[in-house]
Formats: sequence, C-alpha cells, structure tokens
Amino acid sequence: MAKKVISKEEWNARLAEVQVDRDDLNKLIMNYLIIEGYKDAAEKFSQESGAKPPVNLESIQNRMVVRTAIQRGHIEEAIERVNDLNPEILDTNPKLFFHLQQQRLIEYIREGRVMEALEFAQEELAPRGEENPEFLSELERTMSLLAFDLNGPSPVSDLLTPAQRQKLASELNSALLLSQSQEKDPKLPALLKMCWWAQQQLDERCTYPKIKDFNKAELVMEPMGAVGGGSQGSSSSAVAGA
Amino acid sequence: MTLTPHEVAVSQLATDQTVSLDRIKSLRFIKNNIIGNKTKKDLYIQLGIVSRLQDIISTKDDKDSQLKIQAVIVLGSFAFGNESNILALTNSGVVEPLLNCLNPSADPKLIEAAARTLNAIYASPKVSRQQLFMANYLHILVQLLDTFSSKHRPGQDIVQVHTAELVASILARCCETLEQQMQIADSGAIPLLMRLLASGISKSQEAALGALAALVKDNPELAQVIAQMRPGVIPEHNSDIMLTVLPILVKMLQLTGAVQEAAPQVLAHLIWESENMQKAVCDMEAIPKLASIISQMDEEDNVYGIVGQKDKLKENSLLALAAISQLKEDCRKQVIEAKVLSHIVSAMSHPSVGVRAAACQCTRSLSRSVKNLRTSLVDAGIENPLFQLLSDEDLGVLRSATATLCNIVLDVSPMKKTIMERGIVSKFVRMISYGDNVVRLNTVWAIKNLVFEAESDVKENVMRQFGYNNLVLLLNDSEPAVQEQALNLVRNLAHKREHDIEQVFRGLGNGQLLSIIEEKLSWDDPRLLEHALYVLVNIATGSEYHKQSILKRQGILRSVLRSMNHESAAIRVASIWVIINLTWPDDKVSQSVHECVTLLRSMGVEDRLLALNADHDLDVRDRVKTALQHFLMDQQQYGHNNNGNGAPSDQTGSGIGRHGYSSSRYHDPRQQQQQENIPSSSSSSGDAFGGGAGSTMDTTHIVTGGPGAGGHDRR
Repeated sequence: MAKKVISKEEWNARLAEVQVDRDDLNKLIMNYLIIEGYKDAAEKFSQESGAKPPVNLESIQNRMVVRTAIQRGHIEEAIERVNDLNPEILDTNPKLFFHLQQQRLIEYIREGRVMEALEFAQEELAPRGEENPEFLSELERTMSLLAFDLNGPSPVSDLLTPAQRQKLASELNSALLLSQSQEKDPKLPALLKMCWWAQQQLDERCTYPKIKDFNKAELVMEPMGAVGGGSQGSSSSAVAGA
Repeated sequence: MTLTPHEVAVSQLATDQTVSLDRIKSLRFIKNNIIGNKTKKDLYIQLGIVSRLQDIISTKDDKDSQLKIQAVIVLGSFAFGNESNILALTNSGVVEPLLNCLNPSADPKLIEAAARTLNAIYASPKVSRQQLFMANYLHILVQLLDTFSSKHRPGQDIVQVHTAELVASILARCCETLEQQMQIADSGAIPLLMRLLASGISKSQEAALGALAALVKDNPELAQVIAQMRPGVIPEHNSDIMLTVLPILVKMLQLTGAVQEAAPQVLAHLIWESENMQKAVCDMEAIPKLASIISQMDEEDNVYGIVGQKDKLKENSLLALAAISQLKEDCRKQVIEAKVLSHIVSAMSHPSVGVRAAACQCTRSLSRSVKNLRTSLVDAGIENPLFQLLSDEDLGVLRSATATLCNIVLDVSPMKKTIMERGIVSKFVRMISYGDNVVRLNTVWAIKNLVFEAESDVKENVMRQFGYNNLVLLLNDSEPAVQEQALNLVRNLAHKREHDIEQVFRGLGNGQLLSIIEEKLSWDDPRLLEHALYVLVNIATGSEYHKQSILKRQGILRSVLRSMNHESAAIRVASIWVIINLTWPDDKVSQSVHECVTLLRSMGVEDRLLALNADHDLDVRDRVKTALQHFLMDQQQYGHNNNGNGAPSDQTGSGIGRHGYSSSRYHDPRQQQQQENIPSSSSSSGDAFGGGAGSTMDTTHIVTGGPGAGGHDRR
C-alpha cells in the first residue's frame, strides 16, 4: 500500500494550528536548567524571559556542590553537605547511604590507604552488610579490589571508573531533588524522545517533512522521485531552539 | 587509657567552659557519624549523650541558634534509629523542650529541625501525644502550616515548605482519638491543610492529604466539614484520566489474573455517566477486547465445565460493556457488532447474582436504542431471561431488570405485545409491594409506558389486573418521584377517549380522582403540579359530566388560576390548556360552555389571560391567544362584556379552528426517541386537546448493588 504523502505546506499549516504557549516553553527550559543544575544559566534565563524559577536558586548551587564533590572523590565532604541540607535523607535512605560509604572505601583503596580502608570497612560498612545481605555482596565485591592490581585488568575494575562516581552523583542528586518535591528528570529530553518515537510511528504510514537532525531541528522532506530537494524555509517545530 | 573520638566529642558537650564553636564542631562530628549508622547511634546513647543534648536545647539562651539546631538534628537522627532509641529520648523528657523550639520568633532552621525531630519521635505509637495538646503548642504548630505567612523571608522558602510538610505529618500522627481530631480541627488546621493541598508541591500535598485522612478517620463530622469545603482545591482530572489512565486500563484488559479482573471494574466506574470518556474507551477498541473475554469464558465453561471460578471477571467485563454503551448510540452499535449479545443474554441466567445483575445492566444500556429494541434484542431472545429476572431475589438484579423493562414495553418495541401476553401485569403487583423505591419507581414507569396511546381494552386489561387500589397507593407514595409517575399513569389512562376517562372515574371511585388531583395541586411541587394539571387537561376533553365535575370544585379552579402565574412556563402552559379545553366551543358556543365561560370570567380568568398576553414565553402567548378566542366567541354570541374588558378586536371569531399541537415536553434530549406522543388534535372528531403523558425511555441506570441509585429523568 502506498504511503500517504503530506506536503511541506500542509505540514507547516498543521503545525501552525498547534498553539504552544510561550510560557509553557519557558517553563520547560527552566525545568531543564534547574534539574541539570545550571544555576547561572537559570538566573540569566529568568531575567531575560521573566520565567520565575520554581525553586530557590540557592538550592541548585547546593546540589551542584554536592555533585562536584562526588565527582572529585570527596565523599565525606558530600555526606556532610547532604546532612546539612537535610539530615533526614541519609537516615531514611539506607541504600544511598551504603553507596556513599562504599564509594569512600573505593577512594581509600584508590589512594592506596589500605589500613584505613580495612578499618573503615570494618567499622562502617560491615554493620550495614549485616543489616542487609544485598549490601554484603556489594561490600565483598568492593573489598576484592584489594586483591587486584589497580591499574591492570580485573573483574571489578568498573568500580574505579569515573562512571561509578557519576552513577553515585546522579543517585544523590535525585534524592536531593525528591526531598525538595522536584522531579528527578528534566522534561525536555523526554519530550524529544517522544517526538522521535512519534516520527518512528508515523514513518510506517506516511511520508512527511520530518526532523532528522535534532540539533538543527529542520523539517526535511524525504526525497520523492524527481522532486527538487533542498530544505527551504524555517522550521516551526515546537522543540526548535530548545 | 585513651578516649575514643566519640567519647571526646560527648565530653566536650558537657564542659561549660568549652566555647560554643567547639561544641558545634563536636555536634557536627557526632551528627555525621550517626546519620545512617545504627551502631553508632546506639554507641552514643550508651555514652549518655541524650541528657547533654537536652541541656543544650533547654537553655533559654537564644544567642547561638546553631548550637541548638545541631543538637536538635542529632536528637532527630537518634529517633530515626528504632523504637527503643525514641523511648530513650522521650524518657529523658526531650519532647517539651523540642516543642519550645517551635516558637515563631526562633530561627526558621531551628523550627524546621525541631519539627523534623518531633515528627520522627511521634512515628512511635508508644509515645504519648499529650504534651502537644497542652499550653499553646498546638496553636503554634498549626500556624506553621501557613507557608505564606508574613514573616516569609527570601531564601527561607524551602525551609518553610519543609516545616509545613513536617507539621502536617506530625498532625497526622496525633489524631489518635476523637478528641484530638476535634482539637486539631478547632485550632484552624483544616483550611491551612487545604491550602497546602493546593500548593502544587508534591511532598506538601502528600503530607496534607495524610493529615486530612487522619482527621476524618472514623469521624463523620469532620468528613462532612472537609467534603463541603470549596471544590476546586483538587482540580478535575478528567482530561488526564482520558489521556493516561483509560488507555492503560484498556491495555490491562489483555493481562491475566487479578489485574484483568479488576481493570474492567475500575474502567466501568471511571466512565460511568461520562459520555466523553465512554466514547474515548470505545475508540480505544475496548469493546472487542471485553467481548472476547466474555465469549472466550463461555467457550471454556463449555469445554471444562468450570463453574464459578471466573465469575468476577465476567461480571466486571459485563459491567464495563454496560458502562461503555450507556449513553452513546455508536458504542451500542459496536457492542452489537462484536457479536457478544448472545453471551450477554445467556449471562442473564447465570448462577452468580453479580453476573446476572451486570448482564441485565448491559441489556438496559442496549435497550436505550430504538434500533436495538426493534431488532437485535428481540433476535437475541432477551425477553425470556428478562421475564425470569423480574422474579429474581436480588435487589440489584431487580432494579436493573425493571429499568430494562421500561424500555422493552415502549411502543416501538415488538416485545411489548408478547411480554403483555406472558402476564407481565401480574408481576407488577408483586413488584410494587417490594419495599424498594427504585423498583417501585421503575414499575410505575413501565406501566405508564405500557398504557401509553394504548387501546381501551388494553388499558382496561392492565388496570383490571393491577387494580385501582394499587394505583391509589402509588398516588400517595412516600416518594415524590413515584407519585409523579403515578400521575403520569393516570394521565395516560384518561387520555383520548371519553370512555377511557370514564373508566378512570369509575375505577378510582366516585369523586376520588378529582379529590386526589385537588390535593396534588395544593402541593407546591412543580413536578406534581404539571402532571396534575395535564390530568385535568385530559378530563376536560371528556363528557359534560366530566367537565362539570371539574367546574364544581372551587379548590381546583383556584389552583388552576394560581398556576397561570407560576414561574415555570411549562406550568403556565398546562394551566391555560385546562382553560382552553374547558371552554372549547364547537361550531357554536353551547349553553353549558357559556356557563363555564361566565364562571371562569367571574373568577378573573379572562383578566389573567389578558395579562399573560405579554408573557415572555412564546408557547404561553400562543395558548393565551387560543383561550382568549374562546372568551371572545362567547362574548360575540351572548353579547355581554364583563368588566369592560373586551377581547382584542382584531381577533375575530372566524377562522377559529382546531389547533395542531405538538407538545413534546417529555422528550428527553439524550434520547433520539422516546415518545412520538401527544396527538395533534385530531381534526376528524373535533376533540379538544388531550395529551398523554408520553412514554419515556429510562435514562439513568443504577449501579449494581450500589446504594446510589439514580432516579429517572424527572421533571
């Protein structure tokens, strides 16, 4: 069955019919800046667009300090910051707390402070392992770092990668956002994913001007026989310029 | 012997000489040690830290709030440990100093920390709530719910919001007795909680809901208060439900187990009475899915002979079908096309009460379509099982069966005749004695539809079996809706033929008919008033004797006169119709009509009519014109002009003819059809106007088993 063809003119006309509130667009962008922690950008954007940040911008700063501390391997500092921000978080979130302590252990090992690592594992982590068997196996895996050459290949080398810190930083960021009644994921990427998915669905049924490169957000018509190509005109996609 | 760092930290708290900066440092050290670490919490409690902390938070010295804040946080962390920790805190008496920290002039961070710690302490049901209700604490606490208070300072918004959340949570934990609930409500917490609920901040909303839930638990009085608060605090989520919830529910229909069983039930409840949602679910192709669930089950039953195992799934699926096809003809069409009707009909004889009721609910929805009444439902043989269900012992079944019956006996239905022949009327008698308002209402409704526009012998047959004594009972029923339909029934019985009117006169006994009407007219119930007036309209088309029996009753005439000024245009119209029919002249104004006109004129009817010439309602003005023509004809023939009020001279006597009336007041806008009613005045016989009450299709439905039975369309 031949696919239905929707011309660029028709497509643009339909897009023009969709009313997108400017305020909503601004809110989307603000939401992205805040959750991702771009405090300065959020401040500027707020001044220029008039969009009110839904939270105190100070709280973004605090979250970013915590995130940076984790990324640098300063776990103790991060814990103290979190406890200052909201002492309830780590008391009511054993898994997150364990992951933080685990990372502290990893950092001791990375720095070659073996004695301190053993002592810390004994005093801080072992009791948590007793409380929860899931933690115990993770603890054992972490301790096995001591058995391998840190620079050589090992089954647990992933624990030493920046990705491990990154994962923890995200987990902690989510917990902080949640404690402030904020979503943990920005809406904008989800919308882009949805847009991409919708295009996939539409591809099966018709030919239409689509966004191929989300960085450019230009509407490109699939080449149809001898029709002259080349993109003309500007796009009017709702996500353009995001 | 050397001290551990922990022992050092505790000892530093005690020394009065230590500068507060060092003490804060120690407290932070302790805090970061014990948060998340149960072993360390136990260790510090054993070191006797609690009483030292209590000393710190009890000082009146407010110079350094940091010290207090850190101490309160440390106490809170202990409370997050376990119940024995909490009891260690309360036994040394920390609750009161913590409550004192809530003082509104204190550092907001201290207030927040104290609220957090108290909330953690009150997590234990073993802790007494008594102190909270003493002194001024409750009042202070409740004020903290107000996040928009005047002392709002920039940079403190998060702290304030957190505090309000914590306070709401504390309140939720302090609603253990009725007295506590009432005290919290009396302190003004409810409006502030409602505001928190509307804040749009998810954690705050959660906390506010928790508190409100605790306040209304086993407390109907407060539940009432909250239920009556301004709606709109919680916005309507219909569009959300349509876009997100419904598609998921429809998908769930294809799962198995408990989810599949519950999904159709939830679906049915959500879309009940909502045309848009029913349409949406229909578009999501829920009907074929439900149909295949039902028909597959029937096949399995046949093969394996399993009885009773999946009754609930069947019941819920049928209920969902009933809900989807409740209001939209398109949806009904889909149900028929899904070839599930035979399964619905066989489910009407299912051993499970729930399944029977749900199946009957389906037939009820489907019978709201004239097309279905004429074809599909007949073909599927609904009549037999429905007849059986009218003797069912279950109330829910009986309610939906009688509601379905209302539609089955409509004129358009070929089943009307056969169900009569089966002896439906004898069942009516039993059904009205069933002590249920809904069943009784449905029954009268069905009889009304049955005799609508019927031949005299049919009416007589029905009433012979049903009994006029039962009609009298219904006319005096405790339910106004039943009375209304009973009056409707009288109206249909006394319609069209003089003979029919006479039958009702005789049936109800001499004069009783008009006594009943007189009484109903005196009620100030517009619904009864209108139907009672139309009974008079019909009687006035009868013999001289019938007319005279109205004219003899001053009370009735006065009520008619009064109704001509009623605020409802429909009632004004009805009362003018009474006048028109009473004064109906044939080619010439007979002596008796002249006497009638004279009587009415003397009562001031003509003046009233003249005044109504300027009525804003077109229908009223048209009827007034006709009535005044009658008065004018009388005047032209008999020549006197009372009160000097001549009828407008442009209305000549010539050309007075019969009027074509099409009165479709009883038309239900939601139905395509229910009543091809009300005879246009038949030009052949020279009848005056007479109006039947119309037969109406049932428009509402009853939730099976639910107490909230809907009434029929009433007006």
